[in-house]
Amino acid sequence: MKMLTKRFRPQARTLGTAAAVGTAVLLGSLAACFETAAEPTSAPMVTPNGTADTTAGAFQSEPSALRRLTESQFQNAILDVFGDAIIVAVPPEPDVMVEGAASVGSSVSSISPRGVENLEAIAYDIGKQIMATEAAAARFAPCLVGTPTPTPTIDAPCLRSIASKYGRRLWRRDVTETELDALMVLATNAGTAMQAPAQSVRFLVAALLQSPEFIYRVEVGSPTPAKPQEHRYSDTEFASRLAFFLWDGPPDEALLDAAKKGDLAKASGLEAQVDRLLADPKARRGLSSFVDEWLHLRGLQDLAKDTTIFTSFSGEVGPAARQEVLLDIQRIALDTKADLRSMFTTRETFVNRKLAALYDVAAPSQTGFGLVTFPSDSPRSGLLGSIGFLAYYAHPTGSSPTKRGAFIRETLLCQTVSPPPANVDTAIPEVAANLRTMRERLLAHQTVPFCAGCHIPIDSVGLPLEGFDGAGKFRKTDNGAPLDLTGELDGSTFDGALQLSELVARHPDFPQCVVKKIHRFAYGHTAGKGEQAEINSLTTSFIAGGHRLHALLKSVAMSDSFRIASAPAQGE
Amino acid sequence: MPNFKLDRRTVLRGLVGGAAVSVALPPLEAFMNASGTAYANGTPFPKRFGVFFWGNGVIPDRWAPTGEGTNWQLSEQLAPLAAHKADINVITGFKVNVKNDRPHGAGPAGLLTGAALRTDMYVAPTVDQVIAKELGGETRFRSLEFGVQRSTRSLSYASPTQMNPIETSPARLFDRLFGEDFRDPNATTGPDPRLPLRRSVLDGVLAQSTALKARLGASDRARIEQHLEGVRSLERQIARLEASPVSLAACALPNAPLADYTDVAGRQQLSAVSRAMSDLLAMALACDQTRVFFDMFTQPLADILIGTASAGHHQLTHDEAGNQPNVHGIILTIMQEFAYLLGALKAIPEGSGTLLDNCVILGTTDCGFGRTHQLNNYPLIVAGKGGGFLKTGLHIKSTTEDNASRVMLTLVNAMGLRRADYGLDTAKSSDRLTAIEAS
Repeated sequence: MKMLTKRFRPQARTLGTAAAVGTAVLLGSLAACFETAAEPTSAPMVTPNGTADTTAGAFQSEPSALRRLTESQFQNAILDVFGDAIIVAVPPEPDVMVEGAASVGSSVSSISPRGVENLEAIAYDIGKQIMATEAAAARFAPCLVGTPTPTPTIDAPCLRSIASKYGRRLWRRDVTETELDALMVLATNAGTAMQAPAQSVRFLVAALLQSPEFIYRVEVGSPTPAKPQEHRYSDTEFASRLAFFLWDGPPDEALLDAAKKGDLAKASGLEAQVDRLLADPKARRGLSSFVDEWLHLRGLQDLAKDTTIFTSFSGEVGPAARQEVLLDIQRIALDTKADLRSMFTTRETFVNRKLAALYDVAAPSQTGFGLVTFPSDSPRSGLLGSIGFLAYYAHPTGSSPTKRGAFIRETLLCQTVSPPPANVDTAIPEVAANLRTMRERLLAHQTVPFCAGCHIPIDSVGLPLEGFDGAGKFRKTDNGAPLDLTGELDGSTFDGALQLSELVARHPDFPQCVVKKIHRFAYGHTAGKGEQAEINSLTTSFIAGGHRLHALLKSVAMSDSFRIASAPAQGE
Repeated sequence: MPNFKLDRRTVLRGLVGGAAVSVALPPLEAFMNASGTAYANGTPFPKRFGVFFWGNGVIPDRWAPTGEGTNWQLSEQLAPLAAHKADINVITGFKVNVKNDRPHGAGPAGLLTGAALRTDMYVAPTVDQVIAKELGGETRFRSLEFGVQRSTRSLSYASPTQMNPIETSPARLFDRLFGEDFRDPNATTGPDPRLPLRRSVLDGVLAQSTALKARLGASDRARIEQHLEGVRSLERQIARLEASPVSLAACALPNAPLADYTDVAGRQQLSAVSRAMSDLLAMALACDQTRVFFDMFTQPLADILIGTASAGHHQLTHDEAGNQPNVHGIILTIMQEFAYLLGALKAIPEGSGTLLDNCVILGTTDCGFGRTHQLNNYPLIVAGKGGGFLKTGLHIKSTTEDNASRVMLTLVNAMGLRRADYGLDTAKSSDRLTAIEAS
């Protein structure tokens, strides 16, 4: 990883999921390592992030890359352009996770052959839904259904206006006259062959949706006269970058109009649009998309536990626990605009009835989610006390100090944990009279040098969370034995989840780590060496401004570096 | 023109709604040659290729058969395959010859592509897609990727940037295969006016993409080009539908599966879903809707609860002590479902044999011994005779850690691809496993 400092030997980069294994490779297989050590070593296997990378030189952008629409961007584009009456059950392609991030995957993936088939089927299905009822058709194509009986002949000006209007929204730019001509030939042929004007619209919409201009975000820019090696995005392309970053969806008419008028080229005009985007309700889904990626929340949608062990658990818990975290961070970032680090220390959270029962707090009076406050003697605060974190970083039948510890180091602090070695026997002792807690069973990791290099730094952060079982329920004992919840994080000792949360909130690696994750989400790649200056600058202003995520989102959107890319590599 | 689509759907709905689904079939013999190995016009039966994959390896000591060649006995973990012993080859002692730097990730990449991962990315297409590229244009679907574990991440790569998604809902797979666009190859219907229109939409996509490519850098151009390969493939598939299909006697519309399979005490109904998928696959192949499939029972690192196991599969492979009775039980469950799949294909007559005889199916996983995720003693099962190209009923055992790419080379050749070698660098092999080839 680029964050390595010289004091430590190089480590393998954090796993991506192009290998279809995900960060779970790392987190899942660290369960244990002892007995047979091929290459005994006690070298540290966890690499600190380092607060300030002093190697940052002059700013240098990375090349631009086509971004394939992510699953949520595809859904949001259909929603924004066609309205919520149009149903797309499953997007054409699942997100590809690279470095654990859908945003990075979107910059390197293409559409698979199966995805081409899916996209075609979805495109015709949307085209069909749009014209399925008289009311739907009247909303979408009023000029076609204006007369009591649809005319048997094709109304060419009407079709052309539909193509122009919806093409602009779907392709995020004006449709050229040449493109409109080609679409009209297609639409006319369809209406004639199928003997129904509505089929013209169906095939027209299907063509717009299968275009690479829809399914990829085409942001390539053009060279600036002063610096030919630097590409500057057009105002229209930049409108797309802003909208997908802040809304996780396409620009609306107002943003496209502002780009066309040249407003985005002026600081005041840009600020007005960024403020408008951040104040819009769609900013919540934009933020949620980032938080999903940052904290790996999407796995909660499909969380399963052995309900003979965790009897209060059910399939609705995972999605609710994800929603809880999303709402908590929406509140801190967009509503109260508070210090983001309060996400670890706050006693307030959003719960629905199911979560209220699990947390043992009064259920909100209304249906859905409501804000509650944990009592002052509660063992929980913030993210590290949430069921979403505690139950996801666990096994189906029990807790996992290793998964929890690795999440804190990697995801929250951007430290690097090396993957477990192959060809190591990883069995851990069964529960026995003298081995009742995970701390006792994992003790071997800490005494075998080969294992200790990884496991002491991970487990000393994870074991103090053993006060919560594999479903996130508070407990005082494990298998009848009292729990020792002491631990150590980068030089500070602590006791229990509350103190750990305070330490993570105050950890010097946290601010830059958040900045790196936001930058990655916005740009679609992990910051390159030339971009470290931008990371440092954003981090400085983030800290100086009181760690407010709202201000950080605005800083990223307003930064000049968000408008430029280095020239793409040519040649074969 | 009559509204073909509406009539067709009405007919299909009537069939699906009925208690027993059957369609009138033409007499089998009319379409066969005298020896029963091909159609009367000389066209051989289509050959099909598939992968059956599961996560987390096996326990090699309990996996490897005793005996060798034609004289061998199934091991305890292979016992569920007893009914198909004569239809499979078990290949043991082989090694996936890439660096094992990504537990559970290096193995499938190294086996299926013959190449190591590079910065976590696949660098070459997987074997199913190597074959689909050659055969896929012959059928309505280039290939079918489906799975049993929910939310499974695919291991089927058409290129480094193209991962074919896995369908894990039997109901959605049914709709895709046998929904409104399904045309029974044995039914006589008029031409569908939508087909040429669909092709002209794709022509428009290709034309627009050509203009777009001119504005892009090299890597983005390559990504668009890979996308367009899929578009061209789809055009060929549509053109194939416009031509009159080969009649396939065994093709019949199957029953629709359940809309949903709800978990029981936190456990997915893996066996029920797997059997529904296998039944759909069998008819998809019998109706020649595709010739290539990738079936992921579970994904690498799957930590779900399987059967009656006491904990998640992946956790058990590492934590469970001794001879791992829980892990063993899970392997038995998986092999039972593999056996069901093979049985479903074997139940369909094709000529003088069965559909399975015209298949080549690779059964494999993400490592050898799950506990240590090693790449030697890699589990490999080859089922089906590939239309007579392969011998079956053998246990092939290597005592020298033979290169697993030898097996892959043999399989792609069995499917009719003329490949001199398979794999890259350390995993490359140009030495076919002739012991399983029919002379």
